[in-house]
Amino acid sequence: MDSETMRDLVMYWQGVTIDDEAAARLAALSTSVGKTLNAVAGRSMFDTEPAHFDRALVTMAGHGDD
Amino acid sequence: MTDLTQMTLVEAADAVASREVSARELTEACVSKAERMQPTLNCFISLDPEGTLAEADAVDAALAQGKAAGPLQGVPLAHKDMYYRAGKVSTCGSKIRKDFVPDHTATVLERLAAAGALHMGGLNMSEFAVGPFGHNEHWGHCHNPWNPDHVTGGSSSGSGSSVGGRVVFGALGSDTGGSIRLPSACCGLVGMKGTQTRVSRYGVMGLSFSLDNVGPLTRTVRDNARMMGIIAGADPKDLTASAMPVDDYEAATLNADIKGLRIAVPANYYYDGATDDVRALMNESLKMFELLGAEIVTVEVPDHEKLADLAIAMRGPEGAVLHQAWMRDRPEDYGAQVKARLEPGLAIPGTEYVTSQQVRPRITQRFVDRVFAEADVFHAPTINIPVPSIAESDVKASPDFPAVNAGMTHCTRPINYLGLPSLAVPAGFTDNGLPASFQLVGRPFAEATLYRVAAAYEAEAHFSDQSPD
Repeated sequence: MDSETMRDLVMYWQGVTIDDEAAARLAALSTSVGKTLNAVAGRSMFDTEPAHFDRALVTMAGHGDD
Repeated sequence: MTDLTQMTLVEAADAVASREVSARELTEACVSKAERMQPTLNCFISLDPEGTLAEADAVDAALAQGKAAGPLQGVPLAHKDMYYRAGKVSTCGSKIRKDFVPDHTATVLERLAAAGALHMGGLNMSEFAVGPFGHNEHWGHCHNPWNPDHVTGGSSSGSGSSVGGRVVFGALGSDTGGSIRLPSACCGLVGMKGTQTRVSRYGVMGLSFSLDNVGPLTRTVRDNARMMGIIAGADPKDLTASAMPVDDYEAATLNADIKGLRIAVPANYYYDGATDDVRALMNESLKMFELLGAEIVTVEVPDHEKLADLAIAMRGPEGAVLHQAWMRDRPEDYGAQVKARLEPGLAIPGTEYVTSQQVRPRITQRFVDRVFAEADVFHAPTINIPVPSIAESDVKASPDFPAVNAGMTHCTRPINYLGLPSLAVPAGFTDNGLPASFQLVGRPFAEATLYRVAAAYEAEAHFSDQSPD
């Protein structure tokens, strides 16, 4: 995404004005985050349950001696 | 001991409980130190000597009547100025909230008060807890007690500076990407970021609901365990706080034995960009662990090249939601770097935010399976470069600032996304004379194990005995 489009989208979606430098930074970030998340998700999430992080953490807890 | 401020938190509490020292004497020593050090450290946003002395007198009167002492009875503490106390200003280190008076009190402050702790005042912090160096354009930069030309680390800058500077005996910080562990590392302190759901956040300013953690900064491991044991646990006012039972952390620090313990060190990621002096200190700490009977194993950590993006996909929108109206209506009231660090949240689509949440348990599981199949704890630098000077890090919103920020949080930020407990431990001094630190990371809810391992190290290494005074 080019920075001008990013600046326009942020104004349209959020009503917030960002300068040229911020628009360029956000455009680069958007590309990077998009690539990473696509790679991590990797498949349809249609059959997933809502994430419940505490329950996941409890499941992963060890049974140490402390 | 002539200078009461040099005591540890546990020593101070014991001295008051046994009436060897009165709470007033202890408080007067801390107030005097605070007034003397404030021009150098700028660690307080607000200081309340009269209120604290009145609390101290009430403690002394109760003890004189034979009332039982709590575990922090009469001990002066101070906290990052984002812990709400009903009727008291909480600035959040900002211009926007400089006169904000909350109508409720943070659960963790109520728990500390119930344990007998005194409240000295509100501590300096990065504006809205955004910024790993501790800079603050509105309230002035906070300074490192080991060398005031250097940063304290942020965002809990005043917490690091005041405890490291022997002004108060302990402080709460908050950690969304390293903000407890970084000031602990920079100021030679012990700092605990617990398991993500271990401590209530009720009454605490939010930055990112999914990544924010509350925890203590102290001079010793045992001090830290005592504070953490008091604040941890379920809270009906915060349904995100886990119902998992809280272990006896302080007991884990006593006569700590780590013979046979396996410590994992990373083969990748954490030493990227590390300086030689930090590497040497990390190796020395590992040799110490071996001498104590631990076995060192090397592991490849999974997914770390992705964690920065996953974390920003989570933290960005959560922070933007909290700040959107002010970013729209009064952008000039934010510091330049703070505004620049909040802006990414405006550009993350909802689908990416939800994805970051949905894949989080799977990513954490992969780390746990890989690392804790081989070891009991994970060891890595807290910061893999020497503590920078204020001048080196004061980049505001220059084009360099994302890289400078990322370098500072390189080793801490992944652990927030993983949601795992991490304890920063003093590990000596780099070539510039500033403190260095390693972090011990454990399985979810393994805080007691981290305290045990750190206590065993501390008892041999003695870095916590050293004071900048």
